[in-house]
Amino acid sequence: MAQIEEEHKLIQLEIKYTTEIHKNVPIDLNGTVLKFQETLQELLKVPIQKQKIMIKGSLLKQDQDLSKLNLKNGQQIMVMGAREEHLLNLKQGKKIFEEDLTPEQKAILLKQKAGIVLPIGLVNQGNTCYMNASIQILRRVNELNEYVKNNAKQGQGPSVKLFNALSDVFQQLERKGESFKPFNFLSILFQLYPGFAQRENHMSFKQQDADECFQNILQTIEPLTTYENEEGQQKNLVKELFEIELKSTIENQDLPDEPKKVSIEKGKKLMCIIDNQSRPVNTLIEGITVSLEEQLQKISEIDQQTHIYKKTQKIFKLPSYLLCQMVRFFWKQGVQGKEGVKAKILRNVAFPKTLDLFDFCAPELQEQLLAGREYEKKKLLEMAAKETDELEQFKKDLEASGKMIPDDTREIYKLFKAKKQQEEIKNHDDQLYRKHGLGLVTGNYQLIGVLTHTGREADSGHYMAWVHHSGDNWILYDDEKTFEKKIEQIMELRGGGDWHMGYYLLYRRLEIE
Amino acid sequence: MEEKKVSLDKQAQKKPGKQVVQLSEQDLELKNRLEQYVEEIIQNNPESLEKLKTEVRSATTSMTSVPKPFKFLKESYGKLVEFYNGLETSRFKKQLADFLSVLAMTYGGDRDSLLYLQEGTLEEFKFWGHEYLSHLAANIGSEFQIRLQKQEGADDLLFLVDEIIPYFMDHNSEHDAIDLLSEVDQLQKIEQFVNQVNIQRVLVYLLSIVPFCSDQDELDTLLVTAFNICMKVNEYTNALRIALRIDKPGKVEQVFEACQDAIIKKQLAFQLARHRYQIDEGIINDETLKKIAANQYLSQFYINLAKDLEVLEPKTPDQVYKAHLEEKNKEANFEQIQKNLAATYCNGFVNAGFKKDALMGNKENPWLNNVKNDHTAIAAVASIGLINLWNIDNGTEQISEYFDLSDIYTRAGGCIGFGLFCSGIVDENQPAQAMLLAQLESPEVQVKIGAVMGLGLAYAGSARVELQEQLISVLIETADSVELAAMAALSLGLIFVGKCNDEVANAIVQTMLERPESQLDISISRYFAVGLGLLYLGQAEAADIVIESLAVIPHKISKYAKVTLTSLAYASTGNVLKVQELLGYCSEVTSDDKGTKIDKNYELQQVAILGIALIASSEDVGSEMVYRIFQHILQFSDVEVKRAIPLAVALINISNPKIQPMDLLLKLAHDRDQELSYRATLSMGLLGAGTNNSRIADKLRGLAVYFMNDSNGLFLVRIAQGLLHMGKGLLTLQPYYSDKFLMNKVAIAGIISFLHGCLDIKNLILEKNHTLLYYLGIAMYPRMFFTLNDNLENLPVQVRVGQAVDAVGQAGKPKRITGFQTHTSPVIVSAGERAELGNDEYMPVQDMILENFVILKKNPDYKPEIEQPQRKKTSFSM
Repeated sequence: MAQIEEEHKLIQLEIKYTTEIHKNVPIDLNGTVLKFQETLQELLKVPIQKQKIMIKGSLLKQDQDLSKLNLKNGQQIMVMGAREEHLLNLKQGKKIFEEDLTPEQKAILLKQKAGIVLPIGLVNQGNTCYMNASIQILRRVNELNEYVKNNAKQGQGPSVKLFNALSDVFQQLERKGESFKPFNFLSILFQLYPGFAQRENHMSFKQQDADECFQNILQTIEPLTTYENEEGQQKNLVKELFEIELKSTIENQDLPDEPKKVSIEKGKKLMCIIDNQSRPVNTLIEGITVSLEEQLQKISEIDQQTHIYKKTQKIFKLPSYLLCQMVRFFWKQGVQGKEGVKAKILRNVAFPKTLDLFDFCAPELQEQLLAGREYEKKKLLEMAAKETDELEQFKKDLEASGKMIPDDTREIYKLFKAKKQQEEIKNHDDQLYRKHGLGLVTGNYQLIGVLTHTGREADSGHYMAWVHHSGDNWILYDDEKTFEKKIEQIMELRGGGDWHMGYYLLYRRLEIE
Repeated sequence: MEEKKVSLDKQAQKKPGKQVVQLSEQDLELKNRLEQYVEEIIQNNPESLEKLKTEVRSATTSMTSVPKPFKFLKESYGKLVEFYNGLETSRFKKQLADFLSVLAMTYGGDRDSLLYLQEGTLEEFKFWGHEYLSHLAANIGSEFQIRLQKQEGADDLLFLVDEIIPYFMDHNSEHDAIDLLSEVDQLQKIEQFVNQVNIQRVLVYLLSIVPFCSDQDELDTLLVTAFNICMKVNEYTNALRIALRIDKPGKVEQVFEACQDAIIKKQLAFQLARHRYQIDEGIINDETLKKIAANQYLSQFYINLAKDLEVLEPKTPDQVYKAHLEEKNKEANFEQIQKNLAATYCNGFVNAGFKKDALMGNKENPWLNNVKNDHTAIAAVASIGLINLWNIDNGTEQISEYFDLSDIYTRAGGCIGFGLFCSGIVDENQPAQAMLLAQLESPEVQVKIGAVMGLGLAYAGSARVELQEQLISVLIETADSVELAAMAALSLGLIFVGKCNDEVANAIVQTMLERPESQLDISISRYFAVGLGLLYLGQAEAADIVIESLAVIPHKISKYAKVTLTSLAYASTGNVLKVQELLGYCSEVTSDDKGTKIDKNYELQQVAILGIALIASSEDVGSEMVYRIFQHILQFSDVEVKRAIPLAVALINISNPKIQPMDLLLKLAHDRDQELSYRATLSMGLLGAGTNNSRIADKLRGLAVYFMNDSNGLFLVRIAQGLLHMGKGLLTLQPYYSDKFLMNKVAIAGIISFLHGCLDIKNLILEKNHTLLYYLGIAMYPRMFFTLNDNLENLPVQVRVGQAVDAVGQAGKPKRITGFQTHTSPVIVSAGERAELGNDEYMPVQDMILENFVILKKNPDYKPEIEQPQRKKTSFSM
């Protein structure tokens, strides 16, 4: 048999290409591989370069001799290769992948596309949590944030440098996409206030008081925040935002005839006294009340005798942002030769989500506020009426849609609330971010930031910033780490244990339109 | 003699405490009569003995109570023994011995029946009935063991055995016969008593004692006996099943040569295909048979099954994830490469074998644009191999274009994909060999790795010698890329799985010996050990020499290899000694006397745990026991050791979603140890692989939320989801089939290769070596049951599928399934379930386990019931 085939040299093969089988394909064993491939190209429409011919476990190569392959009549061989029309369309560019982006690019893209600013932390540079927390709280004051970010100052003074460094930090917090070290800011702060640069046993920096840091920063940048408003008046932003005017009255307790001394004092925070000798303080309101009424001894101008005076302070001007400091730290005198320490009061002092300052205000101011409060009451009634209407409408819609209707009206109300949730969050956020001065003031403030301290002593422990974000959602900045929190968790920061406790509270004024 | 006295004393002790039972008149009369007989016997009266025997023999009884004569003879037994001991040797004495032997069944001591019997006439003992003979069989068994220890001959016992066996066989008590024969090591004798009628019962019992064999010799005798009896009565399908288990050259061929029936031969060829046994071409020359044995029908029927169940449409990863049911709160805003990689794998697993998919098949918007030009592209192209599993024609069509791209990653992926769809299918043109050997000559290491992996996948279990030399040279000569060399070792292990190929083994040991330590420290080098182990899969003692030779390797990998080799060599044997040996590794002390921690080789302990699971996985009782061992480890061991537990649990329960392991894995998936939780997550996918189990699906969605901010964890959840819905629920990874009697070595090899990768999930699966996932592809098989006519067309019949019930050795025709549902074939059968034909109209062409492909024939004895409802005939063309 073999001899006969050799003489013929022309045999017929069975070609298998994918699912197609072509029978009786003639092939000349004396011809070249190329010729065979041309036959195949004609038959299968597969270009020669792409043909892969498989015979008994090996690929047919260009320089092989067909006659030596020992092919038999009717043998099946397999061909593989893409036809022209099957060619892959890979011209479109590859997509951009999140893994390929730097955190910075990611943050920028997110801000551009979705308007999302990722919460970014600041890396601790050795007990600098007090500064990190202060910056995060300060950053929540959106008017200040915008101003500092967009108005870099010219000049060489150290305060200008600090301002610019702060501006840089604020920008990077939006842009970087990952936590970073505010190194420049820290070194300028140390230049300005060398007290912060103290080291502990030549190792890391010493823990510092966040209040001191916060107030120092405000004080440094205050002169640099003057601007001209739309009406051409010179204004100072820090003053506008934080300055609180107190009308203090000093009266002599012993000599009622002595004329009262009235003066206006300016400050940037309210104190909440906790260490009130015998009378315990349980709430923020109580603490503020204590701080606004004090007794002092003074030499009277009338009889040149020392008398007890009572100093009463009333708020004369309400700030946009109210800072409240819980006076938790105090100097504890050393006993029996021991060194004194900066001690801390762990006492539980509750603070409200909404703070009403009406009672602390001077009568003149109260009159102004009354208008706003009246209007608010009216507005609330209106809202309630509107909601009832909407609820009715909602019920009707529900019936019309033919869905299962819950029997319980409370259930319906729940559904209704869920539907309105989005809208309410928007309204709520609007109140907590929009520009001040457009609505009526009522004396109500809402909590938007808490700076906490944990630890038994002022010189140690850890500071963190809890900052309002949107709706009931808050963000906790623990140096470089950030976490999502709910308002319920914020209200638990009142102290009384070893948990983080509020030290500095940031309230924002509510205005009613 | 002494023993008898002892028993006498026993009786004497029992005597006091007389029963005060009121006897009825009849009973009293019987009792008196019996006692009279006894008195007469003691007076040397042989006639009375005969009368007494007749009395006893004619006594009828229910199943539960002792026959009355036995009861009443209690007090007389002592007297009779006494009398007997005093007698001179005579025929009467012998006859009395016969009777005492019977009485000793109730009153005598250990083996008394046997002793009296042997002193008796040995003429009539078979007439005393079944109960007596069973008792005697037990006596013989224990006597035989004693003789064996004393090294005495036992011909007298064997004589008795030969007498008893026919009785048992004639009286439907085959299991007693087998027990007796195996007690006296004479199992092969059963062969002469087997016929067409009792073969079923004999065979079922023989095979069900297979897991309890204590050593290899016993097992061999048992299997060979079973094989011989099947061959004797021409039960070829069962013979083949046993031949595959025996796994010695020539047995399978013997069945084929003996079988003359063309249709039965087709059935046999299907069995070979399922086992991936590559038979010599000379044995089967028929074209159809060749096609069947080459597995070329598999893809076709699998797709028919999908059509029948209406699941042919491609499924997208999103449909699998059901992300809308997850409680989500943040939308990802970016194309994430890891997310797309997960989608690639998920798509591959879910649409495995269906020829069509949702991602790679989209020509307008190629999925390749959604992956990077790196290892993710390899995975994407290779997934074509999964999608076209078992279908060379379609596979070559879809994958050929990727070989023309200049990019090395797509070509590497093409190689792996090519290997996958050629896996287990024999084509005479050997396209995988042709294509991949050509790619192996490519200068790029990455392409070489792909080609080597592809060859391993395509020819797993084929022992194809043509590849040996090429791969060994890659293994030895690759100096710089450990990955390439390690993959070559693995591929060699897969190709020659369980073949004990010394040449390959030496090459692997050699390369481990010669490579610098720094190379062996790399995680992927563990595959040298795995490849070596696979060569001896299931071959038990055959691996001993290699294990010893490992000691010369100075690097710690030698220990890793030793444990791997031990566990693989004894895989599925249930060998308790080896389990104990491996447990020894796990219980190494953690700290010395002073309490300082010793630097432990935790990896070794993890491999040992995997090994324990592997050894015990074949059989249910063993699996239960190691599961308990695992619980102990979870409670008392270091976290590093615990990390192996999820994988081991998945291994013993693969594709078998039982509640207990599921809950355990879910708990571990939430563990604080990240590595442990990752492995548990992936293991949940393996546990439910191919089952669509809704409970696991729900838990995995929960885990997806849990891992929301951990992209690695989420990646593994997505993979697990893909595995769970593998083949849209038509596939299984279970390597054991045929009632867990047979083990598919390729499947085990595939699973083990993947699990070793999971032992370093962070550096392998979550890094560049995620393509190890494709080794699961060779373990996949449809969990279907097709009924065919003799033209290999689907023959729809009613099939009952239900929970399997163990009915071995029970009398009559017990129900073998419970809680069943009736479907029209083809049907899918889950783990622990069994199929039965719904009625007797058709029967399998030969008796066999109903799974995979079964050719049916008309039952000649079938009488149709008149009121039978008309069946809907659905048939599809081939």
